[in-house]
Amino acid sequence: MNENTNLNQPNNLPIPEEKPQVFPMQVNQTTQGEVVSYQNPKKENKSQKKLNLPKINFGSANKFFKIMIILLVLIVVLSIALFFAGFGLDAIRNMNKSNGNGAEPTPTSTPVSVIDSKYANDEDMILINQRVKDLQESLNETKLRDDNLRIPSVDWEINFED
Amino acid sequence: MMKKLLFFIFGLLFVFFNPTKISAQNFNYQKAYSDYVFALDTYKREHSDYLLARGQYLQANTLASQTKAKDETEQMLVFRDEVISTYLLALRMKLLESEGVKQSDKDSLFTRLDSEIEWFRNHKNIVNSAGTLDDLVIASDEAFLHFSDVSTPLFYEVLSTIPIGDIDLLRRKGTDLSSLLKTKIQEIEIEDSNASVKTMNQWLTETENKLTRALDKQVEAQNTILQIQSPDPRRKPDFASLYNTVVVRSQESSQFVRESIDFINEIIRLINAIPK
Repeated sequence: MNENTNLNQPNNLPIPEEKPQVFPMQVNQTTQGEVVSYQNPKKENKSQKKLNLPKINFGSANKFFKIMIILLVLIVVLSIALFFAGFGLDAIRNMNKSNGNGAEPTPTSTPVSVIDSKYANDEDMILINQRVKDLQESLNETKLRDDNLRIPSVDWEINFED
Repeated sequence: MMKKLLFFIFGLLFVFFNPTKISAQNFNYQKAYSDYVFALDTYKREHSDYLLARGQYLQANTLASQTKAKDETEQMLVFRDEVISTYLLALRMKLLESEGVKQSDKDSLFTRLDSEIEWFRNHKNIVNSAGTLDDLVIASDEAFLHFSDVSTPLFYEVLSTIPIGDIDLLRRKGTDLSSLLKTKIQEIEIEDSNASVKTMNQWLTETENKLTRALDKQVEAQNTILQIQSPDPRRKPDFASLYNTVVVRSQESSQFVRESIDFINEIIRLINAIPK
């Protein structure tokens, strides 16, 4: 059987043999008869495209414009950095607050003009003050309703009938 | 002679270091309450076993299931009596530790509580001696009758007496303070003619009014207890509702005492403002 014949083809037609693509050799001659280089045509196209790019002429008049652009970019970058830095600081402050580590202002009593009282060190008044405090404590501690001692709930209906 | 002396010394040591005496001293409301909670938990477990055995007996109706049901019911009834006994003991300890309740009231309630504890302890023996399931049912019904007719009114009476005692103690302390302050104001009036004693006396009158209103509320609470102690025989009283009324009146009374203390504090500030 011929090896170029594909049996899977419906008509069992022979597949034509592929020929390798051969690029035509280009010869650049600076001097007659001397070969300098030979190139692939695709590569040549690329180099040609590069060569066709429009050239921008940065003259001395545009220097000011360039500096302005760089400054503008710097300002934008700095402002973005400051913006995020602000967020970061806020987050740190909140974290400190929640942990209770934040340096909170300590309350200081406002200066009050102290009256030099005649009865400030009076024994009876000291006793009364102490008894008032004791009574207030007793009032706060007294539980008038004790829910622990609710009457026990037990099953009293004992029977053996359906 | 030596033997007698030794007996005497050992006797003395026994009296001073009697373990039952020491344990009685340590027994307080918290301990009694823990015992009650433990008994209640045990009862709940026994009750579940009883329900299971009862269900099996009603389904199978065999002698084996009947015996099992009897044993479980007996156990459950014993622990039910234990729950009531320990609850009564916890109430007794709570009453004992309540400073405000008068000793005469305490003694009267102690006698009745002890009698109830004894009744439920004896009832355990009745349950243990029951021969059949029917005997157990009869024993249970007997306990229920006693619980609803005798124990329940006593529970609510004790529960209501405790807050009234508490508020009576607080109110009396407030009245004592008011009297002390009155004496002090009288002294100030003599010592210092420039002091604004008139204002102090006016505020003291306001304080006394608050304490009078506190007493009124306390009396209302005490009258409610009378309904628990001697209920209307024509209709069954709602003990729980009466107890709630006692607590509410006591709370109102407590509020008036609190307000009187605020007034006393204001009077103290006024006295402390008198310059030298």
